[in-house]
Amino acid sequence: MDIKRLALPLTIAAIVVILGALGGWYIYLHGQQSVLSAVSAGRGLGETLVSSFPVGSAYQNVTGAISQIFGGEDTTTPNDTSVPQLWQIGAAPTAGVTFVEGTSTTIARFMDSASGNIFDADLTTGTIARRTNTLVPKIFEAMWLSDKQVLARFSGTQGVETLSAEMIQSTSTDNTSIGNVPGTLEGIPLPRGILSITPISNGKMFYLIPYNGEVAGVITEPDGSKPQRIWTFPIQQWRAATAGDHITLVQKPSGTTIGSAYRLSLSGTLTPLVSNVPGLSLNEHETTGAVIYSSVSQNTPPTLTARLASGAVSELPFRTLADKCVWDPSSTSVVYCAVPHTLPSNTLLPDAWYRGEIHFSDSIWKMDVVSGSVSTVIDPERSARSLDILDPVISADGTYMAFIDAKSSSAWVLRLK
Amino acid sequence: MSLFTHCITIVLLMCALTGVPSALLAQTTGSPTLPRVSLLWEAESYTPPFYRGRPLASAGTPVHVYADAQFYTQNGSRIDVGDITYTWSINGRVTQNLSGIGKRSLTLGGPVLFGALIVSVEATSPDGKLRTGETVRINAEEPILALYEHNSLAGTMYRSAYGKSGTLVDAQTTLTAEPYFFLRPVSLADIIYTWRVDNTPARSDTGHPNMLTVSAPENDRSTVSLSVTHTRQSLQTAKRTWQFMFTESIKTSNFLNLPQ
Repeated sequence: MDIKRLALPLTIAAIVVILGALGGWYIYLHGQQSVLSAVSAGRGLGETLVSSFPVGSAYQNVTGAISQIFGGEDTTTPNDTSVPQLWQIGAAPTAGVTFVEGTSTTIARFMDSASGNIFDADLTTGTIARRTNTLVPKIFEAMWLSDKQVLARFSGTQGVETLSAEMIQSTSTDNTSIGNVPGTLEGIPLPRGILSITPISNGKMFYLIPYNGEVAGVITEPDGSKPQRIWTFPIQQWRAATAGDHITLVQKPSGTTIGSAYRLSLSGTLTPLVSNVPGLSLNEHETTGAVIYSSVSQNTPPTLTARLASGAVSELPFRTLADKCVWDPSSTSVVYCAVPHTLPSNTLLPDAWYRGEIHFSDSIWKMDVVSGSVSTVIDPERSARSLDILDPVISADGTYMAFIDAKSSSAWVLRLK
Repeated sequence: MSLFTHCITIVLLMCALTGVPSALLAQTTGSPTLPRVSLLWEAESYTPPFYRGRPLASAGTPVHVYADAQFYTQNGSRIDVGDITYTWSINGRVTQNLSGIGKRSLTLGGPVLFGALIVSVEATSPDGKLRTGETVRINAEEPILALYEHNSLAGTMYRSAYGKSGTLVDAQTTLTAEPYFFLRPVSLADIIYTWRVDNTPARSDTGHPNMLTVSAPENDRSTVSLSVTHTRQSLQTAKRTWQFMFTESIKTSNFLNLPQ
């Protein structure tokens, strides 16, 4: 065989095969990139930033006398930055949001319900990055024990399941740097059927769980180890939240009946906080002992009351539920409340809202419960947005508020200063 | 029973009957020294996971009631709740067998259909010098059916229920029904779910009788109705109908905006 005669066709054939393989590889990579981009877009990454603007008018559910009493509204525009004042950081259903404060920026960290993946929204640059890629689907509720330790809750076939999961980063140890390769989420299951759970001091947690026909309050380490039963009680249905050196327990509310709230010390001593209030929902300041609580009964709109540590009591000019209010942790007396533009008549609150049968369109107000000054922060309706604010949280420095829109379950961040 | 007990019971009963919350009479003041009793109750009724509200009583649902008497001595220390005497009245009648020293909780059979339980308690300190009372009206609520989208990845969308009419967000959508306030526990064998789509019996998802997957019909509209019955409590039934519309624009996307 004449090898020289075959050399040219063989070379050409080899080149064609190599070029074909390279082309196929390019098409494959491009396709994968498109899929990843689409998935990311579905979770809100890269979406055009949604912004709104502060407004300055009185609303139906803020009593009309405010401006007379407190001298008008503050319409100061917050400082301009590259990130809009109101930003939808996650378009897909979100389980929970927290803030991570770094040396140069603040991060809004949130967990995607469908994947259990954790994302960071950089509130200085407006960028979003995936921090974990471990698939944990159907997460309904997430709360943070620390920057890297999250309690993820979902409904399993045998009841409510809770994972205490830790973010394991593959490269950087900088907790607020964006753009690292996603890490993993390593979780430890906590006992099944936890009724309510809240982080407490020192990275530990407190949860309520059925116990011999009653309920037990248990304190554990972040990984669920060293469970210590500190309290038992005949009534099971409570909402637990941490407040400094104790836990606030509020009976699950209904507009059909009265409710009570207590403080539970970490040694298990129960002290009455607010008693026998119709439809009671309550929110306690982290450090001062001040509380705001809402009262609501059939066919009456909710009223909101503040009680300071001194015992002074005043009614706030907002017709809203305490669920929609949050204390500013950087202040001893400032509270932010989401106030519905309209409240439905002939609807039992808060029950119907808890069932997801009604939704509100809220504006956000700020009030100093000591000085009495009131100001609007933002009205999303001015930019054709209807937001039903759920689980608001505020960053430690009081600069940002994060919340979930109850209607879409999407996650939002609002710049307050 | 003392004249004082009668007076307390009558006043509290009048409050309950006239709809005036006795809480307004015994409102919290923040002072730890005033004698006070809080009545806490919950029904043994079903609510879905993560529900933030009270499990209410439907007809025949057991109700747990607890009286938290807050009595303080002159030096400000709280009197042990186990030393306090509790006198319970149900619908205006004192129940001696449930009353006594330290008897601060009870379980009742639940209100009758369309009725109510009016539960009153009078608490008396060991020396008899401190007395206070509280009452609560526990209505027999009708069980409620709520319908939610169930997403295979994100789970059941408990934060947003379908109203009487709504749009389905995909050409094929799985719905989850939740029977609020049915007698607990609610297992698969306890509840009968009867689904109909456009007046035709529909089969629920395999192994999940409370779930139904619906597809867009020719005319893009569907009527879904559901009837739910408790096998152990024949009085506990609920029915509801929802009108759904499938729109072309919606059919081309899905809930999470994930790639098709």
